[in-house]
Amino acid sequence: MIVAVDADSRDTAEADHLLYELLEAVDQPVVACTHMVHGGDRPHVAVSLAVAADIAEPIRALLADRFAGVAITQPGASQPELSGPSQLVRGAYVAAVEAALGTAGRVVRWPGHEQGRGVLRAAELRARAGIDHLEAVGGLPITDDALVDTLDFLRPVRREGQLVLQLQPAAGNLLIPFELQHQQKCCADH
Amino acid sequence: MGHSHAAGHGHGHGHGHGHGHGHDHSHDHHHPNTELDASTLAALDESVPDSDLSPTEVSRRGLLRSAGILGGTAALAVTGAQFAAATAPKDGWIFNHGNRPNVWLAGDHHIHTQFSSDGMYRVIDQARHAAAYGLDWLVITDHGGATHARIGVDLVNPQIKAARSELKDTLIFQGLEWNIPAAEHGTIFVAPGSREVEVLKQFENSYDGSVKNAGANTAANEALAVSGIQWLGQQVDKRRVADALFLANHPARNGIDSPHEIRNWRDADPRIAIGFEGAPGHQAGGLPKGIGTGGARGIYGNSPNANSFPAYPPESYRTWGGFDWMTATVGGLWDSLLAEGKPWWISANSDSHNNWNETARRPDGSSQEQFDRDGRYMDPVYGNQVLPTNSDFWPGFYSRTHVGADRRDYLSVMEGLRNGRMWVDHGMLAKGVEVEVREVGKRYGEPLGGALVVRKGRPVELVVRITAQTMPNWANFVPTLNRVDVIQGAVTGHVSDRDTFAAPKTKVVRQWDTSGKRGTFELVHPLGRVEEASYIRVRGTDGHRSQPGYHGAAVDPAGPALDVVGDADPWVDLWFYTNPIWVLPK
Repeated sequence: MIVAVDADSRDTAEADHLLYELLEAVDQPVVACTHMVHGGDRPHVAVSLAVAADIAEPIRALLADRFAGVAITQPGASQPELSGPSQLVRGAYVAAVEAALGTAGRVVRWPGHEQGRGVLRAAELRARAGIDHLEAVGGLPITDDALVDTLDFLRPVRREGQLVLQLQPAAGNLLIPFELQHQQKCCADH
Repeated sequence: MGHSHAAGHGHGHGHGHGHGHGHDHSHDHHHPNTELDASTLAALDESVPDSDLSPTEVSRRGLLRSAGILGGTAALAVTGAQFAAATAPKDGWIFNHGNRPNVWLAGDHHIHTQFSSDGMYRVIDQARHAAAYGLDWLVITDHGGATHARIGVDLVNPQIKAARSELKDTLIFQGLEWNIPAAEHGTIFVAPGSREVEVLKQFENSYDGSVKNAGANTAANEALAVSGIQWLGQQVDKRRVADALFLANHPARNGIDSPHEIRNWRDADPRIAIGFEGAPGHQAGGLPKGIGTGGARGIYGNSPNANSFPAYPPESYRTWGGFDWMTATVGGLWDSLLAEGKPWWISANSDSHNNWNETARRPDGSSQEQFDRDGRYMDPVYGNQVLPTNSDFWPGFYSRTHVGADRRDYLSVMEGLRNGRMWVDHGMLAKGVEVEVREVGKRYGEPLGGALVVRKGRPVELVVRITAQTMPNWANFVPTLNRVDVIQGAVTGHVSDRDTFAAPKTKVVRQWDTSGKRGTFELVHPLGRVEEASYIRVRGTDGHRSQPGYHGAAVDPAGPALDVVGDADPWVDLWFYTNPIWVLPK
């Protein structure tokens, strides 16, 4: 099933934290993603969880007092169960669609993510962490034995059902993730 | 000096998109369902039978059906108020016949002081260093925000006036760094005068994205930005200030300046909105650990977020040879504006807040609370330690914007900027760069930013006159200009999609090996007989770091290289870029 939640997270860091909370209620393999919601009143970030078991109850309980839109989909159901304020239900629905299709989304947890730590050779990282493609910005080629420092923080993206990890060159002939955990907030007035 | 440029050499062209032409740019970037592509929307729409769907759409519908998602599409209908940005583009080409400049004045339009909540220096600290490092003009641009709008914009003015009288040969403008609603930051500045503070203060209180809580990427906030630019133009029309300019800063840093926003700003009032930073400041940000902070050059180290324009690729979030991706990419966003025939210029600045290897610090007790109360931090004191982890250089230390002016005065600098009569460099790569396009056999042509209007079929040529550097730069070596490139693009007229950020008919057409050249030398590139409208721009490099451009080696065989996070020493990767010159057949 897919459970998608739009709690109007301002950015990916805030959405990650929402996911960490929701993941507390899940004790089995899960694909957890963030999804950009650009339409509507204000751009923000929604999240989704795709799991085999039924996690609707614990997630509902967790979100009971939250201002959030929720889309809960059961395989084969004629329609999803939608709840929450309408502008956030919209984002949750978009997230559910992207999660179902695997066409978009930034992946926070997936089976194999726990293997994506430390410094690994590219081929090893792909095989161990279950990543389909490694891709470097600027068209840099990546050989199987290229060293990747995961910085213990990987956020691959989904593209056409595949898991793609974007990398960038770094000092010391290493590759590091394109997305770094600490994003520079610009200036004090922001 | 007035603003006769809009009329001065208005060019009647044959592309059929003159003033009377309707503006059919649809603002479908505010389509309520921008996240989902057309085939997903088709797959979701159960009123469309399977037989009318493409194989991809059928397969998507199958996935969505088995996931139990079909049947919920009513959720998508909920959107906020959608409306086209209230812009009234002043269409048609607005070109100048440029005068050859009498004097080149180097400057920096992006400098912070103790009146910024993340700044430290007095105005005189910045101005004296700028003058010592060879700048002729500078703009003080403290961040817009509640405290600055309340008192900072007033309090900085006496410091600026005092610096003007202390440094008689240095032109010191008052401006501010605008939080552009729905977008990045930008420099706003005005000509000095009795109302400079009044106009800036009113602007900031009415249009700053932080003051107005208008940072989010919404249509209403985009419209507020457009109104702000138009308002500034009105203040010039009313003679409250003699002149005003806006340039967007670090445009690609977070992917939040979408192509249509940049076009909307420019069209809001092309007299006021004249360009963006071709190279951002914070150029020490990529110095490796040990001698620097080990971060990203330009502090361009982020990845997309909620307000980012989704179509920008990861490459756009990094600098290339120290330059912003929009400018560094041949056939990229900047070229897409030039190919439309929209004058739009580039600059290079320090964005100085806290400089590399600084030994001063804010004094004890100078806190955020103290800043919010007083509108400024207390004066810096000696700090007994050196800070190599600061990301900025002093104004003039590394980045320079060279403006061709008629005279050494405030209005002439602003007019030179508006006319695009400027080139930029890093690390004092060249002592002088003069570019013109002329009819073969004629003595004089059009300078940077100008448009040469010639009879069809006449042969024209590009002349690049370089004066090699003889003086050491501020890292104390004499830089060598080893290569000069010519970039040419066809002028293809207005684009229907205002989010266009590619110019497929622009490419590098000439590369000169200039290694070993001394003194002043001329490079001449024949442009053939003029048949179509085109533009030409020039760049040069020390040649240390290159890679094929974002659009491939056929477009740019040896362009600037992607800057490596934590390993981008700016002194061994130097470039200059000029603004363009147009060639228009009569």
